Amino acid sequence: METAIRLEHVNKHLGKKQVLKDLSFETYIGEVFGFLGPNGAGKTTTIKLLVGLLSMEEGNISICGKDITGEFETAMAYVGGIVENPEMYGYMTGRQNLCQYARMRKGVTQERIDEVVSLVGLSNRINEKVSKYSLGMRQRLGLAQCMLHHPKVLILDEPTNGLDPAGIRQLRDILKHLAHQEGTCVFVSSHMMSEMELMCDRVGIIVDGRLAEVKTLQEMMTERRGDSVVYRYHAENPRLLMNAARQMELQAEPGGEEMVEVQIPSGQEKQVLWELNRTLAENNIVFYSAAPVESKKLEDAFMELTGKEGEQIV
Amino acid sequence: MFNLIRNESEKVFRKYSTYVLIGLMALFLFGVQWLIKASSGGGDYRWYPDEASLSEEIMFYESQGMEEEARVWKFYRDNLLDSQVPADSWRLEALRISYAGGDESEIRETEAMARTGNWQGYYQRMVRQIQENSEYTEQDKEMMSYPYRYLLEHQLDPDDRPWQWDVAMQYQSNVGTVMALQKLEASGNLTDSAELEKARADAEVARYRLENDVEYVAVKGEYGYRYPRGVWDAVDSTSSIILILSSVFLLIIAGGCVSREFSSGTIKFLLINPVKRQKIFWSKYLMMLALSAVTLIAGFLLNLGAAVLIQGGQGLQATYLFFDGSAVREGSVLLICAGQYFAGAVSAIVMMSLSFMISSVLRSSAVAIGISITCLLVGSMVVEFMAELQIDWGRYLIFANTGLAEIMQGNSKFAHQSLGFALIVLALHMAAFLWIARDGFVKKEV
Ligand SMILES: Nc1ncnc2c1ncn2[C@@H]1O[C@H](COP(=O)(O)OP(=O)(O)OP(=O)(O)O)[C@@H](O)[C@H]1O
Ligand SMILES: [Mg+2]
Repeated sequence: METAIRLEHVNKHLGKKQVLKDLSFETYIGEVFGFLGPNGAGKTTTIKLLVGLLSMEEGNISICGKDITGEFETAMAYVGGIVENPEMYGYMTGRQNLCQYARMRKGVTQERIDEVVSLVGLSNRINEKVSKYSLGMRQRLGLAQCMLHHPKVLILDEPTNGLDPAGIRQLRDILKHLAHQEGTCVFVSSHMMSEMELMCDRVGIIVDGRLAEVKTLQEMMTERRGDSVVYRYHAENPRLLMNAARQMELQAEPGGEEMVEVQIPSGQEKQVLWELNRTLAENNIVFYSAAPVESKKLEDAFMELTGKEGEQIV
Repeated sequence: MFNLIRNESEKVFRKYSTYVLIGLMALFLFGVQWLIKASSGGGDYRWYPDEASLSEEIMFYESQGMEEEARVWKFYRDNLLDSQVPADSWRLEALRISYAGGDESEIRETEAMARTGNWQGYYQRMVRQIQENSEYTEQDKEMMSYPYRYLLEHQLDPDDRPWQWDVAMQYQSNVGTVMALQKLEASGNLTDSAELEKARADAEVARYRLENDVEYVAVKGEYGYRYPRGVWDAVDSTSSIILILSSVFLLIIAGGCVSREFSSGTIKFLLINPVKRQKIFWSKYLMMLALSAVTLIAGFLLNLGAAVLIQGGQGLQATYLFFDGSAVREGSVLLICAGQYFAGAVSAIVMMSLSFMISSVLRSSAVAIGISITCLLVGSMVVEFMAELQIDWGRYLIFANTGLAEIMQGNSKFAHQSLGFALIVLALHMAAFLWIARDGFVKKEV
């Protein structure tokens, strides 16, 4: 795997506060890397260091093998990104903003601009003044801007902020496509766990300027999987269903009106489910649906790692 | 780099506020030009006193024992007032001379000439008297009689006030000065030889104008250049206003140039690119320099255009005349006028740089604009005050050196302030401004 971003023992003070504490990690070409952490953990600070908005204090950062202090211009040529909110020149149109950006990069053609604009769904509004855009539209324009020059490393600070569900889905698809098909490293910071779960291949969790964990999503899931998966049954008579499940030595709890949550031991889900369902059918216990309860593993992992610290901003 | 500068200029010219400023400037400029035209009147300076004030005048001269002067005015009151002869006519001068030294028959002859307006007769007599005076050399005679011969030859009635009459009278008085100073020189009593040079040059220029029929001229005076009535005078008297307007315009734009990027957050958009901050800084400053050049040149041309339009092109064809020690030479008024303007424009660029620096270091356009406008308005006053109080280190301040046009003419605020000194002080200040600004921009964390 080709390394895209490498941080080595990065320390950074802002004012008197040490915001980043000996931060080291790597991300690779072809993956979507989620950078998670509670408010004030240092996500934005890390990103600002990555794109050269803040000066390096201690440690090294390289992008595609180029040190960002020594070879700033080469390193930055690989990078596209948005830091915090996408701020544009409000008195210019979307297209004029993109042209501004294109002139600072090599090899961005007008066709490329059109292509990216339609990719983020702004074709109809691109010739309007940015000051008349909504937050989500600005977010989309920001995305268009940072993709213009086919960056090898795409760095996004909370890109879902302000996007509608369709926009979020589009963003997800775009980012996955960029990472998996076009060989980009996408680095996304966020605290929207459910979003990240759907989007990322790997996540790193940062707490109070220290890296708490870097794992693939798979690892994160299996680790916290435990012994069983919860299935929720929608039954005509929940009490009957609960009794039936208990007789099969399964744990079952009422889970709201007409609902029963049954714990199915993991590893033998198919077998147990089949047996349970057959028993129910044989005993004429009516149920309308059965579905696994939506996974909240990442959120659980996040809460566990950030612990009590998550409740008070450090 | 070119692309960066283009980006920066787009940031300026996509904003409506820029056009509002330009529009205001243009309006102001036309307004001032129109005011100048309106206040200059018709240019008729003839003087017609009324009878009461004349009698008062006569009584005053009599009480002072100035019999001849009283007699001149009495004659004027009794004979000329009703026939609408202005009080500054050649006739009064002729009477004054005759009453002072002429015999009875000459006085009677002069009075007749004055009554009938026989200026030819009077001028012919002047020429004759000069020729008959044995104290004068042939050359003196030629020079002294020239203005009268000229007016006679060209049939220019002084009562019509042709411009040639004014120039002829100037010539006559210059020649008088030259001869008086030469007399002093011969006796070894001349203290200031520059004075003689100046009078001689003035005489040469006046004579050149008469001989070559040049009505509109610009000349170098003691306190700067003097421009002819009409277009050039209007351009010259408004150029300092244009410079102040341009300075204000430029320092408003320069004040926002860096700080606005910070206040709108777009600095992140700008700095995330593979371009060193240095380069972005210089592209901003170079854009400001280019904008300054365009603004100042456009300001001059627009002002000239407005003056031509409003003054109806009067005197546009003027030439710059100067005496180089042996002959009178012609130069371009446009060059002289533009040269002075652009010497003054240096201060606009210095102020722009000051504003740019403050904007870059403090990131506040309001503070940058406020401080630099204050400096623009009170800077030279403070320096003048220091010069008055003889606080000599004041000469190292920037405002003691921004008036390049005056310094070139030797009218600096502090004594012995040479142009080279001023340029060095300015260059040092500019270097300091840019260094501080660059440092502030490159090092700061976003
Ligand atoms: N200019 C600054 N001066 C001093 N401290 C700062 C400065 N900027 C940020 N900090 C501190 O650094 C810490 C990390 O901030 P950062 O913006 O990186 O957090 P974040 O992880 O992006 O949070 P969020 O999820 O809210 O965006 C915070 O505690 C913040 O107070
Ligand atoms: Mg943040």
